[in-house]
Amino acid sequence: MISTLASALIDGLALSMLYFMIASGFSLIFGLEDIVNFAHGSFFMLGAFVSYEVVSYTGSFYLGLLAAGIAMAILAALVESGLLRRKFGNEMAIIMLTLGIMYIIHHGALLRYGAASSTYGTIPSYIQGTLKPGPIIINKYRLFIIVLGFIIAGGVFLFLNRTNVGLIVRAGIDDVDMAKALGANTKRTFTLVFAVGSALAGLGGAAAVGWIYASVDLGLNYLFFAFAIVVIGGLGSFKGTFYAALLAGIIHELFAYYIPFLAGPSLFILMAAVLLLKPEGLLGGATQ
Amino acid sequence: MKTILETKGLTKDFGGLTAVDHVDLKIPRGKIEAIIGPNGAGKTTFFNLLSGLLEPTSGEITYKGKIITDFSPEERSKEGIARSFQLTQIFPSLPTLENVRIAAQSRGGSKTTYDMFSRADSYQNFIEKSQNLLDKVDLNEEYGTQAGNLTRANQRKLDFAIALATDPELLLLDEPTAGMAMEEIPEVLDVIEKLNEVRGDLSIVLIEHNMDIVMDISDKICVLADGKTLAEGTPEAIRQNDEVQQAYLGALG
Amino acid sequence: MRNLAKHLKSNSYPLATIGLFFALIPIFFYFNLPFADILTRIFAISIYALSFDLLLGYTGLLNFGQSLFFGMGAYITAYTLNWTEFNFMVALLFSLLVGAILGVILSLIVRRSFKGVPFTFFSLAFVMIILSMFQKRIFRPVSGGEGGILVPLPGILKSIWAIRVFEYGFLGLLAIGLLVAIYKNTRNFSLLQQVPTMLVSSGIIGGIFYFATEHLSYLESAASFERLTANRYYLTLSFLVAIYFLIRRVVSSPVGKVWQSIRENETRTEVIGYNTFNYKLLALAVSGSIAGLAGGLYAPYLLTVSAGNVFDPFITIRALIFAVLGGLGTLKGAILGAGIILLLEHFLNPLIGGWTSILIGIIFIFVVFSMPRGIVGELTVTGGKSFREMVREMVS
Repeated sequence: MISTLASALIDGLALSMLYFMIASGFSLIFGLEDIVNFAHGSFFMLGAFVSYEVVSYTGSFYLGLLAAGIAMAILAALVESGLLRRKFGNEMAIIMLTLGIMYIIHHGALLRYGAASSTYGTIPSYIQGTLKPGPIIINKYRLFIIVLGFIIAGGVFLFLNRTNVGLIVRAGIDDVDMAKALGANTKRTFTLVFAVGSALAGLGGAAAVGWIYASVDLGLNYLFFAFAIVVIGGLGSFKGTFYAALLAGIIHELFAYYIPFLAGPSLFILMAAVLLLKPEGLLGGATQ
Repeated sequence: MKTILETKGLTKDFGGLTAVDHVDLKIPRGKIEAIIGPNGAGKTTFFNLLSGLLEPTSGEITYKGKIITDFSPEERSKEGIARSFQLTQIFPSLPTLENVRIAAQSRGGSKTTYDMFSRADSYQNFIEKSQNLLDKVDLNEEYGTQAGNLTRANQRKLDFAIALATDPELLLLDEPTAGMAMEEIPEVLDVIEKLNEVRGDLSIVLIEHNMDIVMDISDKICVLADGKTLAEGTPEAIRQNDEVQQAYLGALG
Repeated sequence: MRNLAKHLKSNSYPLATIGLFFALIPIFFYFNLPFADILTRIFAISIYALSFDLLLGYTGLLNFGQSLFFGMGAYITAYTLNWTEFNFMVALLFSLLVGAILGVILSLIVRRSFKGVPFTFFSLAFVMIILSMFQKRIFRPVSGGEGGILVPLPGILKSIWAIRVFEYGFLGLLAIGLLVAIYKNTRNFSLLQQVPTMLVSSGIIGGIFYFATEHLSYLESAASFERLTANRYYLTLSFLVAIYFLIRRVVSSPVGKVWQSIRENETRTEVIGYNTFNYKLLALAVSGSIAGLAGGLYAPYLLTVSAGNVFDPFITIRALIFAVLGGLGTLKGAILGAGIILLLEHFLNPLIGGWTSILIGIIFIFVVFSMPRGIVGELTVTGGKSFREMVREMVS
């Protein structure tokens, strides 16, 4: 009884962290630049495959994580400065461009891995298996994801609240003109945020490989998750995104353990409920 | 003076910030009334309440003896309330004539407005009406121009023509001269004065933050400050009102 | 009568083009049968792309769940043919109705966020939920599982009579269209020029008629799959033509004009007295019914319908690519885009395989970047002159 509940909560927290890693970047980019990046889920998927490749060549799990993050940051910076920036202000063109990138990544991944393949990554032996304190069984790798997620959340939070760039980002989310008034090089800030946000997605994908799997489907699924989390948490609210991810992940796993057929649509149900009861999201609208 | 629209205790609260605070206002029929006030006085919020884009927190709006507080924007339009916007709201990539025609079409009754199978231009009367209106606002040479390519003053006039095409009895103009170059302002004011001729018995309410602009063309002025009515009266009375002078000097200084 | 003559004159080019496509089939039969199938596919997908253009190009709604209409259309046709005695036409009617109903349901669900990006994601959620439901084991009886459900061959596709009607009917159309077009363009020619032009064109028409007759007598005795190919080609093309003209009429109707004003500026449309929700609902219902019909038409081509191959959101992204490449809000563009991409895939796939899709993605990005109005859009609005005028100037 207790052990099932504990497992559900641990799994839920781990899933929450994946949700958080995909949604936080999406939210930052949307908040600062008003860009809806339809390729964001693809970055997650690509991160998963990058880490898978790196781990199978080098055998180092951490190198895989790092490589996924860095590769996505570089790719995103190129996309932002090479394509998106030139169409700023033209919302439809930006949506089209990111859709095009999503299309390319999706088919590229299909070409390399095929539609059916689901690849599990290799993880170091000391985070394999389970811990058994008393009646509770804890999967070590899921615990690892939770720790990683909290470290990243803390890092992003410090970045936003303690650094100069973070200040500019927060100002920019409220009002881009204000950020300019702060003397910010908004162009460079935009690229930086786009790269960091996408790196988070890549990291999330890399972390997911050891637990869920790497497959081409991840791209579209996680794009939708990112959007749902941001809607639940409230647009432009970083804390909101974090709490929404926690809520959504835990609810999903509770359903998965107790009422399995509701697990799939749980995120959608949650999103619909939030929209009905508090359309601006859990923590949204506070800045207005 | 006959009243066309009346607000009683109209209030709009944005999470603690009261943008419009218990405003009681009677708008005279067939006249031009100006609502003036410094930036942030709640003028545009007041307009949004009148046109139904915002729901009031409390208070009541009566229009021609009918309480319309719960009416949607589209229902208010059907009752005869039309508006223009501070940032000109047109259909930028459609031709000028089509901009007005689509507004005229909205008066065609549901058989016409939900007609999916006959060509829109087979309804000749809307086209003729639109041409007439465009002629009245001096846009007779721009029928085919893409609305987005018109000059700002002409876009503003087009905005008026769109509003007029819905056969309004009450026309709300939100800062009609905002964003205009100095030399364009008289051109726009001129057209506003002519609007009454286009449709007799048209009541106009216009918002302006620059007091001097409206002195000549309005019959009555209401001054808003911090969401409250500060003063009401003829342009002369307002000009002499010390409180108004102070509010203006305070806000500008 | 006079009216008819006027109509014929002003529509001679489209008439001739349509007729030409109908007349092409005998030629394919002699030379390249599979190519007829590619065109059939293009016609069906063009209908789907048209339904997408109606929403995005005219109403400004980016519906990421468009494949739901298409997929349900395919499933409904498959169900009807499998489980009932109704024929293909009735099945298509059901697909169309179900598409419309789904459009209404989606509108009601998204009522509170019926624009922009939120709408896009809610419609994506809608299709993803149905997709994941159909992939669940309990839904196997309706979804057919991984393998999907078989689509029985509709009787009309096997009949020889259908081919006869199609072939002679549209050959006639081609002849009339061509002759009127030629007459229109050679009226100012001297007799010396006019006579050879007329002779050559009559020769071409006569030749096609000859081929068609030969072809028909061949089909009387041919294998049934060849009759099937021909019938499927004609049927799909007929629907494409009908839908194209229908949509063209609808977008120039009062309702279509309101759709465009919603695309341009929704607040303004509301303030001048339109209930924009009703119009968007109408747009989704019309678009949904057309996409449903496209799915139904595509079902016999697929042979089996499975959730994975008809609900895939990438089908929607492809429709978007077709419509944007050809030019949003032009209708012709959606057809042209579908034609270009599918032909490209047909010819390149054997050479470079999966890289074709990547190439298409790159082409798409290039078009968004440098030809924002798409091919048809860029050609028709250059400097306010129509394409035809430009050509005329170049020639003279």
